[in-house]
Amino acid sequence: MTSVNSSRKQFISMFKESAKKTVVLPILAFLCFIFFSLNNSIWLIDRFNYEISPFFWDELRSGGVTNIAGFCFIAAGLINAMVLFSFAWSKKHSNVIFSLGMKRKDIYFAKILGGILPMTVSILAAALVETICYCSFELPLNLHFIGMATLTALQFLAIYILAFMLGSAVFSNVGNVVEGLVFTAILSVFTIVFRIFLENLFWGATHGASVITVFDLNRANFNWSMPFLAFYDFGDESFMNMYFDTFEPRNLTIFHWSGIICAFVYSVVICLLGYLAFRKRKNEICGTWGRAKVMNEVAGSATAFYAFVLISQYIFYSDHGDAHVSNLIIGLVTFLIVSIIFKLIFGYKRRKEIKNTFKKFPIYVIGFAAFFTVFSSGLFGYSSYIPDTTEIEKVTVASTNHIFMEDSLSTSSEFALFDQRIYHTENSSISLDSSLNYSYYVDEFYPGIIFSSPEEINKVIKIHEKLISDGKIKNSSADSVGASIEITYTLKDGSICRRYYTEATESLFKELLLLDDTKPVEYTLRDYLGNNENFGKFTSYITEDNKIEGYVVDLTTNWFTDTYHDSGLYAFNKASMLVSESYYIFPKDMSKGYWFGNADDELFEAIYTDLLNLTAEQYYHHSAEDEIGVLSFGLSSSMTIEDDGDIIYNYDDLSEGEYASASWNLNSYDIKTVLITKYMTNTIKYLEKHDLMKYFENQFDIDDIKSVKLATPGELYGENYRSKCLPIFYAAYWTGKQMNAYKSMYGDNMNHTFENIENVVTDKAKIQSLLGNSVLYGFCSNKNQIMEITYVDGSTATVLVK
Amino acid sequence: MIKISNITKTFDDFTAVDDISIEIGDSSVYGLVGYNGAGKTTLLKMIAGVYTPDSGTIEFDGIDLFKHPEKKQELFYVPDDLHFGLASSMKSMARYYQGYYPNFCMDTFNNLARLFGLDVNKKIMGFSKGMQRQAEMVLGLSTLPKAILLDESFDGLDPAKRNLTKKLLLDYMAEKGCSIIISSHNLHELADMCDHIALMNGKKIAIDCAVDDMNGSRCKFRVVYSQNVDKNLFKGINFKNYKADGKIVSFTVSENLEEAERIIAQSNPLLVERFPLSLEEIFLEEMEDTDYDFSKLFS
Repeated sequence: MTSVNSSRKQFISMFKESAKKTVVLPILAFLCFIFFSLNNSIWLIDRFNYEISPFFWDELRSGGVTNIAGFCFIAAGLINAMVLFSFAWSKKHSNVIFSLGMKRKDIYFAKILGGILPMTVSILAAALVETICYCSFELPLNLHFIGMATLTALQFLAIYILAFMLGSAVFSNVGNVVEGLVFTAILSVFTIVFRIFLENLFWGATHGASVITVFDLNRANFNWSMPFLAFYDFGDESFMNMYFDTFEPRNLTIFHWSGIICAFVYSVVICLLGYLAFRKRKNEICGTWGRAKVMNEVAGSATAFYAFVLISQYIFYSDHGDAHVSNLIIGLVTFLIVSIIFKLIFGYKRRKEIKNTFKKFPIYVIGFAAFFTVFSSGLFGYSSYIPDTTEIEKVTVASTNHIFMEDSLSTSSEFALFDQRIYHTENSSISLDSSLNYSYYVDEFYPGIIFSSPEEINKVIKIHEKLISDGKIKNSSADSVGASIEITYTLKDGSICRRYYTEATESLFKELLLLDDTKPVEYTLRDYLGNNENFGKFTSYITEDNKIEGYVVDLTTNWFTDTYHDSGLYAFNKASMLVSESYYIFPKDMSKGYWFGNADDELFEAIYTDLLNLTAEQYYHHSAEDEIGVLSFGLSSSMTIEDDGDIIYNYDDLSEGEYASASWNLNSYDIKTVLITKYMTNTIKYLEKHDLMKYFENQFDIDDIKSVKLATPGELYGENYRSKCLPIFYAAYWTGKQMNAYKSMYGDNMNHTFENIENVVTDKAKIQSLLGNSVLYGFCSNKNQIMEITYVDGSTATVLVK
Repeated sequence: MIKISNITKTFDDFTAVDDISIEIGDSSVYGLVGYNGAGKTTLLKMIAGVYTPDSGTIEFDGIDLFKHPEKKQELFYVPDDLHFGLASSMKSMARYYQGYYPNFCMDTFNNLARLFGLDVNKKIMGFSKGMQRQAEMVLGLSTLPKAILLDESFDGLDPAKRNLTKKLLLDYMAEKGCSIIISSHNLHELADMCDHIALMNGKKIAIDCAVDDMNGSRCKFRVVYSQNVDKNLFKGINFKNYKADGKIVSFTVSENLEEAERIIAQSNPLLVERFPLSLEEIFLEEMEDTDYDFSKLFS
């Protein structure tokens, strides 16, 4: 027998041996898949009957099951890696393995193959069974289905292989199982921390533009940093429905494949690195502590790097985002300290290794310095590059920021979150990005408006030029606002140039708002406001004698005003309004709501036309005198109307807990509110025609005001608020009863934003003057003051002083 | 033939084996002797490919084992700490080794197992320590190796199995031309089996010679005089372990035996006795047995 043949036989033997050892978990996985396939088949019948189409591994892909499945596959990968490379920690076992006539390469790769193949077969076989189940219901087996099914199956495989490769690389090169587990855990989060490093340490990074776009093919839409969460975006209902439930196939994009691609690429890289280390591995480390020098160095450096990122980020944010060399120095000192602590825990000859850490430290310093030097210089013109106008086919502008939905008086929600005209979307599909920024709610202020005429493109370029000339904007600087702006140029040759800026100045944001006056925004708005196919078919409800009656609702005694507060001035959407049964008119002081029956098409048309016609100036920068009051839709679901016209409030019989719950649901989904200004001539004409203008008369006068507190946004929310909120304000109002209820409910824990504000105004004349300049909605500069008005009856309102 | 050339192995700052060169011929039983920690196991593990030497080469039939590890298919290492798979029987282990040793012979395996009276279907973990050693020996020999490395492999064997194993190994060596390297502290055993002995004296090889040569070149003298004599009387003799008990003097000589006999004869002794040195005595002579004062140790 030739040595080549015998080597092949040895390889096959070791592969078989490895596959035998790891086959249990793939079998279990297969059985689970089959269970879900059978379960899915039962549902298929149901869904088919109800004309709801099913999709691949439906039940497995729903809700928490997905996350549990993902976790199980990661655990399976690690367990199998441990099983196959456990010989590396055992002196006895390694005597046997390494005395076999096999090259280390063959040992390593035979075990790798033995760990991967059974699970691959298991998943593919289960996918085939599911496909057969699917086809048995005569559902279409087309490219879209195959794409989705492949994607789904590969996702399970990808995270298993990644976990297995990482585990194998680590476990094959450590001296004991504890080191293996700890080092695997450390290295598994490397890409996430590296992403945070790139994304948030912009104080030392690119001049203006976020460096993250260097690595993202489509800002945050290429999952390179969390390959273990390849499922992540499948948790989004809209994606789950994108093919199967809607029967409106949409193409899978690179984003959907990105997690898998990265998982496989990382797996290959990790596998090769693991092999290189294994080839040089010294077997005398078996069963010892701290003698796996390579892994110790890698894991130690990674841990120190994590500490560097966390401490630098902490200092950065606690220091209001000012860039300091001291941040870098403190970060590096932390790096050194953590390195030493790591050596103390995982070192073998600790004193010597700590000495070596000091010797190597300058190398790390040079590395960090080089990194920041390159990026702070603008990354060789990366951040300041704008394509030539003649090359541009179109440009897309998107602006995002975060939403903090809070249901008490913490009142982040009262400030600058929802826009009534442009989209309001709580978009969790950008979850990769948002999860790293501690919030799942990202407001797409501009969801991506496309400008294609030369004139419009030039407007955007001017905004981009200003972004570049503004350079790095300190988070704490007086004119910074929390708007992340993304500009994407599509060039005539088909290529894409994308830049993402995490900060903007007030003046720039004002210019961005002026884009509202362009045609693309109008078209977007028109499409958005008029997207209800039922529009025009609505029939008015309370029009017995063609007269609309208003019912006065005493806000001081009833709960539902809370929903008004929390809803703020929500996005106006005709579709949303149509599903509501009635509307309210609130005067500008928000003290009373006048309930009406169903709105008719004429009113919707009037509002629709007015909102389209409003200029950016009228919309964001109107004065106090311009505001008339508020129309609010969708509040009636909590009420019933008696024959005599009395309104019964269902909330009266509910306890506080039930109330809070009901309130939350209402304000989250049902309430749509429109601010009426004098520029909305069509709406005013309608209101006048139906004699409704009288309901806008304020109920409170100056004597009803007990006190007023004034504070800038920075004083209210801290200096860091700027990176988190758009500079748009909307008002709020709480009844006295509600305030008391909150106080009794939360006590000292009540997070009342104005609690510590000392700027109290009691002078009636001054208060009158302030009221004369206050608005319910509009652009809020950092210098503007927000006013909290406390009325003598205990009710409270917040407005913006222009 | 196994040729070890200038091999060195260090563990961090500790040098376990320092520039050792030895050759083990075909049809040879090579004994490795040395005190605990002298580097015997390290040397064996390097030959087996478990440890990688810092420098030097190990050739097996002229082939570098580190460049061509597949050559180890003809070599079997029986370590001091045995390892068997969990819940493995001898049969399953035989199947395991069959995959890695192309010469593995199932008939030989069954025959040997019968010879040792081992149940091949029984779980090895249920075997006694001695039986586990026998099992490993059976498995090793079933691979029909050209070289066997035995690290303290006779420990735990009863006298009958010990003799059987020894005989089997010697017969196998004689029949197949196999090279056997045995590391052991049982010097009597090695003396019986080995044709060549290497004595490791901490990192280095102190003695590397054929057993026959070793016996002829070293001896112990016991000389009786009519009166007490001085140590200087034996000036010119390179002796060790000098002991004087009144008029009786004894010492060992490891070189120039004829010259030593001539010098002793010139000192007018009443009686001269010459004894060959046992392997143990040679070991103790080379290791320079540590002496101590009991009263100081336990004062």
